[in-house]
Amino acid sequence: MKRLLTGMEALARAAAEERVQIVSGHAGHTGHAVAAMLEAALQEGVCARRAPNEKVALEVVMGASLAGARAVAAVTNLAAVVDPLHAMAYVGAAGGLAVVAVDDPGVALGAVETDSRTLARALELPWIEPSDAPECKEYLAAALALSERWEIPVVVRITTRVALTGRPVSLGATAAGEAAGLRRDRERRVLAPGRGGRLRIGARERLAQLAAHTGESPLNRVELRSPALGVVTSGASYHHVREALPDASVLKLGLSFPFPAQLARTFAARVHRLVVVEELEPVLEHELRALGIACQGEGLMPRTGELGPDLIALALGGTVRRERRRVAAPERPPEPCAGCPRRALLHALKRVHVNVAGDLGCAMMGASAPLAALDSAFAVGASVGVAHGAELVLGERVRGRQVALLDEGAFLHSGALALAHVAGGGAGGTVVVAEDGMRARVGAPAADLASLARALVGASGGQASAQQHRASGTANVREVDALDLAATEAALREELARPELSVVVARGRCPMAQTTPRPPCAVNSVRCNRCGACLRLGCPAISDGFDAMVIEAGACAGCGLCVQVCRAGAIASTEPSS
Amino acid sequence: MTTGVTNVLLAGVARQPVLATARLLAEAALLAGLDVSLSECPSPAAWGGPTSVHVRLGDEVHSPLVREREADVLVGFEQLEALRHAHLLAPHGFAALNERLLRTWRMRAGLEPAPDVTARLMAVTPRVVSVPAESLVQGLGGAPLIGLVLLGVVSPLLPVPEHAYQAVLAAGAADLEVRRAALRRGRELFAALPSCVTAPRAI
Repeated sequence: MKRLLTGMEALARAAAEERVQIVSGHAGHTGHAVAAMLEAALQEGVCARRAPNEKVALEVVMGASLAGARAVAAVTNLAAVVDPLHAMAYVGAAGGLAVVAVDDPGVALGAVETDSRTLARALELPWIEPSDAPECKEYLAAALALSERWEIPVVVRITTRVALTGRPVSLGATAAGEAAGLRRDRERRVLAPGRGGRLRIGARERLAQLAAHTGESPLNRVELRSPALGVVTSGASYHHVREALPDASVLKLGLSFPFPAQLARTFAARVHRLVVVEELEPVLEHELRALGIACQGEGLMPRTGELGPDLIALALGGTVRRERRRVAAPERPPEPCAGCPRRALLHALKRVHVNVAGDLGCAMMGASAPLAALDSAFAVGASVGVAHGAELVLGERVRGRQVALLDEGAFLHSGALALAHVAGGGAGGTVVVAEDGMRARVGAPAADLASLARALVGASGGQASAQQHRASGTANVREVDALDLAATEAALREELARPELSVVVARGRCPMAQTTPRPPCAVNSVRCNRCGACLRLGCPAISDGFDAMVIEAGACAGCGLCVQVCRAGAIASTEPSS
Repeated sequence: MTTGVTNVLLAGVARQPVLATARLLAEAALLAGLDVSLSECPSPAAWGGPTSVHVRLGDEVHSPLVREREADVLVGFEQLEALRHAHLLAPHGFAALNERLLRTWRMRAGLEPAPDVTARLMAVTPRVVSVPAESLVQGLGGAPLIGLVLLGVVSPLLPVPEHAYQAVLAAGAADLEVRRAALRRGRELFAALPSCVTAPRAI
């Protein structure tokens, strides 16, 4: 029986069929591929957990592997877990351990275009690259078997294209796993000082033994067609090559590290021209060149962004129907949803004229016009440290003139530890955490964020004076309703004026989690003077109707922010009572 | 074009049922014994951004991506997003274009006019059909059904028999009659079109 499954769904199905006992991943805000895999794993009856960050996701599966169970981690940023993953190679996996890394050529989902394949040498781990959903299922099974045979974690690397493409997949029977139990091996499992060097030798030996078998792995295959052109490729690019160059011979690498040297030599000898087609970094090409095999690759195709059959055909002489110039369509930058409390918060931050060290996640939505309230934002949970760094070198020049702004997801990812660090050093600063009630997205309990912040920074609640705070060495933590613009603005001004550290928790429910719909707002067209104050909120429901501003009732979430910014008193809720 | 492969491009914005509609089409094709690929283009879909899905069906599909000027059918859930994919539309291609246009902030603020999408698609192919999908599903169940209307419009051009859609819909259970009705309204709209638009040229 065949079912249409995406790459992520096929990986989840493989977990169910291969007796995997835990799937743990960090989905975050943008990693919706990972979120889809965890969701699918749950539906297949596998225990799946959302972790607050990549490191925790990996540690959970390490623990499961050491307890003798098969376990799979899924992350969109493999670079975030280089250290524990490398150490796990020394310690050695017990139960099969696979780490799914989802790279994002074209940077549509994440923030950076990392080619995680470049980490294979640093991590000294086998690298497996499925090209489609059926291979995701087949190769995850192979990865778990390899992991158990060589006692080593195995990376299954895909790109967003493979992750989000559905293909017919043959299903097998699912089976429940049974963990073997903990085995005491303190010499190997405790990386005490002095042991690392010895254990690394053991890990290298296991990798070398594995390397001797890569040539005969069914994951690597030669497809001989015309000898005129031979293409070495892997992952998503394989199917693009088959589409664009149907006559070319192909060496398809499913187990690309350790590189199958002998297989590559044999293939190269059978074709007249050897070309490497790979997205992003010239990883396979460098392996071939290191073996002294002449080939082309870098320079033929772009080194950034996603490849597709058109680009490959253009570079290598296939048929291309690209004659007409592209029709330009207006850009549609992401914007906060109607009713998003972030919009109110970002607007309040603009009114207090501060530098905003932002973060990734929904807080990022203040990046584009008309809100454009962020001054930096580039890594999850980084805002607190970034603002602290500026304060350390600029001192008075930024004191009271900057805030760190982050979502609760980013706060729980790593911002919270940075906050504890800032507090521990006795430094000042203002940290704004947007609490939206969507904590389940990062697998954290719905605990009260303000209490957590208080515990981390040794804060006193309430409105104690600045003097008292200084005397007791505690910081101020307060909560505001983000959609109450005046209160939020006043709270920000007050906290910015304090010399010591303070945390503002701006509460407001995500409109997607809003269970009781609020009545929409409407413009009184007689009163409206078209000043544009509401328009500058960038709300998807508000537009300039040229006689008056217009609120589209079907798009309005009834948050009432526009009512608060309208100086002419022309906007009101359509609630019957008001 | 790979011989025997039909290329369908579905484009809209987040929270329109673009992926669900693509999934229905792909599953029906699979049920009808075709090879199929469905590829959602990664986008920060939670934030109202563009969302598009490439569906390819036929005897044997390789790349999940529709190549430039090779989309036989373009299903535009939203006008600007349809325009964004005009370069993929084949010169003989068929475009079903929902009348809905979700303006960008610059358009809402009057800083930029909304383009005439129908005219610009007509420059690529004469087979452009405007579909009032939102009004056609009024009284049925609203916005979640617009995908079924649009799929109904293009379905007579696709190598998937109607019973396959019905079977996939039936497996979904909920609101079956309403879903069937939405699909039927789309088919009726297609049936009423002039033959110069509906002729199954080169598909």
